[in-house]
Amino acid sequence: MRTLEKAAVGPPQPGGLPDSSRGLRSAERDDTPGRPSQWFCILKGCQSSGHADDFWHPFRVRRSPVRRPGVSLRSTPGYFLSALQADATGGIGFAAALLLLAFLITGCSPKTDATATPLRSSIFSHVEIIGARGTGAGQFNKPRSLTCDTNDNLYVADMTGRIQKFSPEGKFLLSWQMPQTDLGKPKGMSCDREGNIVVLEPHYQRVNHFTPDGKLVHQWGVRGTNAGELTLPRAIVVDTKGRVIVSEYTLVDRVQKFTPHGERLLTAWGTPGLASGEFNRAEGVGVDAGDNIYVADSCNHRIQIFSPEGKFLRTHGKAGTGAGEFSYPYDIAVDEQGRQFVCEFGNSRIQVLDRDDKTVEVIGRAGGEPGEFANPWSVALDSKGNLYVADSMNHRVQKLVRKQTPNPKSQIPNKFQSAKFQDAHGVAEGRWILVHWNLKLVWDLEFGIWNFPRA
Amino acid sequence: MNWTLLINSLLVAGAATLLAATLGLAVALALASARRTGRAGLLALCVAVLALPSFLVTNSWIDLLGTNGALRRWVPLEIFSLPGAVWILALLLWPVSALGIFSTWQKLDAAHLELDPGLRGANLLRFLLLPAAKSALVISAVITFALALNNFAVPAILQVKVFPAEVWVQFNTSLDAAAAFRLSWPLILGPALLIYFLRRESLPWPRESASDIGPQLSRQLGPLWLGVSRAVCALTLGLSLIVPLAQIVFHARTWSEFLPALAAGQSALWHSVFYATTAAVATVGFGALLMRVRGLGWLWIFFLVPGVLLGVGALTAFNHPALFWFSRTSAIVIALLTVRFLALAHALARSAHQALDQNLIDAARVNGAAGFTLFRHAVLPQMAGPLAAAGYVVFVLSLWEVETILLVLPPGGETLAVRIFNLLHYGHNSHVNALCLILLLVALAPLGMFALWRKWR
Repeated sequence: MRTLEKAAVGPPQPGGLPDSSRGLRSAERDDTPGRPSQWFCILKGCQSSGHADDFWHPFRVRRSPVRRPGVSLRSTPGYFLSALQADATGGIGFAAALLLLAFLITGCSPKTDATATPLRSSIFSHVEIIGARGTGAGQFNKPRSLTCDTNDNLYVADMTGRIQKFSPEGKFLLSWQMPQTDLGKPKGMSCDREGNIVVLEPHYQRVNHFTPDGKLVHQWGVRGTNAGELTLPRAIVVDTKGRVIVSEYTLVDRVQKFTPHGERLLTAWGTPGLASGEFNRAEGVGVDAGDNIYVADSCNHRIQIFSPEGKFLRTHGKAGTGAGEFSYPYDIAVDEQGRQFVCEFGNSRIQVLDRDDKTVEVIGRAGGEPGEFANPWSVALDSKGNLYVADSMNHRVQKLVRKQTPNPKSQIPNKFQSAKFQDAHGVAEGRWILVHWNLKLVWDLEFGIWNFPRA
Repeated sequence: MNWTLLINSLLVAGAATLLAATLGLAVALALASARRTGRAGLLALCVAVLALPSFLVTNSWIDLLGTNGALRRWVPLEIFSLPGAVWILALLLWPVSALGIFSTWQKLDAAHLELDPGLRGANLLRFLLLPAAKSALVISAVITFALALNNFAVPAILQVKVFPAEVWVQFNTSLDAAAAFRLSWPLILGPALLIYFLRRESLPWPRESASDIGPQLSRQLGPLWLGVSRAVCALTLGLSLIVPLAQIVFHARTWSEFLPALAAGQSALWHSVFYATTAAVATVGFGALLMRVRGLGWLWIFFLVPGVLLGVGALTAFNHPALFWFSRTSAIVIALLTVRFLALAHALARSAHQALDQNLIDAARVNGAAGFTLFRHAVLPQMAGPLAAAGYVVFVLSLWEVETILLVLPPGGETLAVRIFNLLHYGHNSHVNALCLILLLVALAPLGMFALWRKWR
């Protein structure tokens, strides 16, 4: 076990570090899920005044080109060339054509906004941008993993091989460098029961537990393909009892569950394949309040759900771009209401599903504006339900801020008390229960209504 | 100077060149001694090998010789190593030598072979064929060395520490462009020297030849040399073309993952097609416009340096808020692809221009054709084929291109090749096979459409 020195860091930078630049012209916002991506806009000439015919017009060749000195008319290609360059209008037309080409191609440039940007979502009110491309403090180079600690601080691992810590407001606090990055960079993060930050090093086949200020307190993991050993671990999550769940890929496609510091293997399951319970690059794992395990089975384009003991429960999703379909789901987070937040690397979006695996909404699309994503790689929820997304190819983190729900405490008389509650779905944490005159009612945080509990 | 990197790079490039030249020589012998019809097929296979994307071949060999590889039990070659990189690079690059040497031997005629009755078997090789091919062999070897030295995909996927891969890793970690360029000066100097020294050389390339010395050559070579050359040729073609394609096509899970990969990769697929088509049109357009301009040999530097350097350069030059309209859109991808392949399109267009039949043009002019009419009826029919071929070559190369565009892809602009490269970084799986198959089908689609068009016409 080694102890790491906390790396010296530069002056803290504002949490919101989006570039304030705008494109040549701003594309109008259209939050409709499934809006065609940029190239399609180019083909359609969207928002441009130039029609395809206008584009080609400058290239039309005059029928009577003027002979110019130095251009031989013996060669017709030269003739063609000279026709294009024959007079000033030809030159201007050519330049205009080039400009128009650039205009059409770049017409849908992303715009960014320094302030919080409203988000069309039933769950989140707005989005905040943290960081921009770079290697300085508070900047990112392809962030791939993130997690939140018990105080809602954010930790992000990127391709620089360092872990950066941000306050809940997105203010850069500190960073530390992983000791070895020759073979590969860290990927896969979680927060353990003691509040330490767990960081995977896939290429070194090991799991590190850091204190929130970057001191290494535990390190475990043995290279190998036998049970209890690790081979290119890809994702890690810690359940409510502190047990560590790790997914692996390449020589083995499996999920293993360990005791809190990896002393002992509890269970392991999965083989490479397409059938239920088999994996094809399990790139992300999440747990719900009941410690059920959700596996983002990325190359099978689906989510598989297992009991805490590793028993296959159900699966949902298939390859595609529609609702309920996935393209390379790389990570998943599950909130207290059982809602699943799946980040799709291929579709560059976040898909939200309810506890019955029905799509609630699709957030974002491919792009560089706030609320848009470029190959999102990881997601994490804080205690308030805010969702952080590692927007890897935009080199930033986006914070999707949860809509304010009526505070049950302020509305519920003292006679009401809180309790955990078991309902038909097995999860009812965070709900309020009234025990009065032998009447039991549940305040449903999810839907904001009173309800009768089910036995 | 990082000496380890330099030694590794020289070792990999040198060994790959040696192996590729040896294989190429044997294949050239088989080509030269083949009958005309068989030779055409062999030439097509050689060009197909040259056109195969390096990540596809690497993917196959990782599957065969990786830790759990099917051949690992019998072949003690660790694919994630310097020898592994040498092996794959040699399999990718031997056609350069084969085509170069063969094109030189095409210039021989029956009289050369009949100069001396003793020119048989080993003597024929020693006293006629090898001396005749000496220049072509050297030029091919130098080109192979430059291509092997600057190959990015193979060492990057195999995680071999050579210059292009290390420049990529360093820049991808630190975003320090100055350090990347400092590290990579040999990668720029090598191609620059190559272009300088070959500026007056005509590169050997097979041409349609009236004389056919194949039967006579095969008789004089004798059964031993003929058998050896043909066996090596078959083995080389098998290892570099049949094995990778068969590994993809005959893997059962390739097909079970084909449709899901297609459904999940629609966006990447269309990006690939869009970038490749636009780049092909732009490159051929500029190549045609510049075909009368001489002294553009320096454009080859953009083709020969590792594409990752172009990406780093473009990112450094254009990653500025005032230029985001360019650097964060498809424009930069298309511009980079155009710059990278312009030399190729220019050379092909120039070659087509030089081959124009002036008599036909003069005849058209005498009959009153002028300007666009002349161009349309006398020039375009002659140049359309070569220009379309140039466009297709650029289309295919753009489809495969990863290193140049990896750093500058706009948000959501991932291509199939980039997706394959990213997935391969963590090891082979059958999903990559399916993606490779899709990419191959896309590359073949224009040929299929052309064949259909000709049939319909």
